Amino acid sequence: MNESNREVVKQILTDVAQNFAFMFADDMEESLESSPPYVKAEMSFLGPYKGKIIMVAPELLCGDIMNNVLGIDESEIDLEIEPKDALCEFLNIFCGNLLTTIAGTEPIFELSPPSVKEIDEKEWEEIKNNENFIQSSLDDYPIYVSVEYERT
Amino acid sequence: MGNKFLYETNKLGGEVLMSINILIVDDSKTVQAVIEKTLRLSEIEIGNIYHAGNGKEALELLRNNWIDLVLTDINMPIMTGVELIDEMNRDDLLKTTPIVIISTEGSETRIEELKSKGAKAYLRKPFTPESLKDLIVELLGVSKDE
Repeated sequence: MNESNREVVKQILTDVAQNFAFMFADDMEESLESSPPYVKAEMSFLGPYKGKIIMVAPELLCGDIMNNVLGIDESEIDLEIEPKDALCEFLNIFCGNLLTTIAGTEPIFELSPPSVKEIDEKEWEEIKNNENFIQSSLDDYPIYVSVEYERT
Repeated sequence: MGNKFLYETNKLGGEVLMSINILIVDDSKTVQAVIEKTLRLSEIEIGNIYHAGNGKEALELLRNNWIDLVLTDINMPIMTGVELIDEMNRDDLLKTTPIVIISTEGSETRIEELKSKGAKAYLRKPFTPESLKDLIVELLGVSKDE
């Protein structure tokens, strides 16, 4: 991803964090500590561009996103809602914003529904060191975002 | 006065607002919960709120319950919101049920296409509670204040 695209991704991440999750996004100045479990959400899109977006974060961040979105504290969480579901929706909104930013509001894209799974510490460490992932922080939690796309 | 089908006549000849039953269709339980919470806190007289994770589940609920309004996402597994609207249009009993799209969709072309299929309104995620409430009140003309 070139520098210009990285800035676009960071801006969209900031906007979605503020408007959906009521969180503050920033560059990760230094490595942020976090504890497992970690989750990885991804979705793909196909239209004038085809590509894939991946977001990786500690599950604790997913829980905070969910609490902020629902406006509840931990004791009121509906147990039927898994925290990682909130990361999927965060990704879904991110994808919608990204597509209008890169392609405008005319074209139609087909999107895969977001999927999410838990990853082990080995994969977490690999992603942390992968330069294709943009490293950011959301309210002092790390989040890693990869966006790959090309014209069809 | 809003949608006359949502009002009934009382013994004195006055019109009384009936509560409305709403179906929320979204594969994200977080979004389902946000929409339900927004509806419960709004001034709208809510009856039952039903939940579906995709269009197929929604059709089942629509065929077995009286539902006044459908709030649906587009991008869902098994059956999308677009396919749901198509199926509802093919069903004489369901084709007049108002549908509101709540989605991350940013394509004006797609939104126009959905409106031409019968969707009454579109709300882009993330939405504010006020925007959802205002949209429903405008669409159905229902409010506890009336």
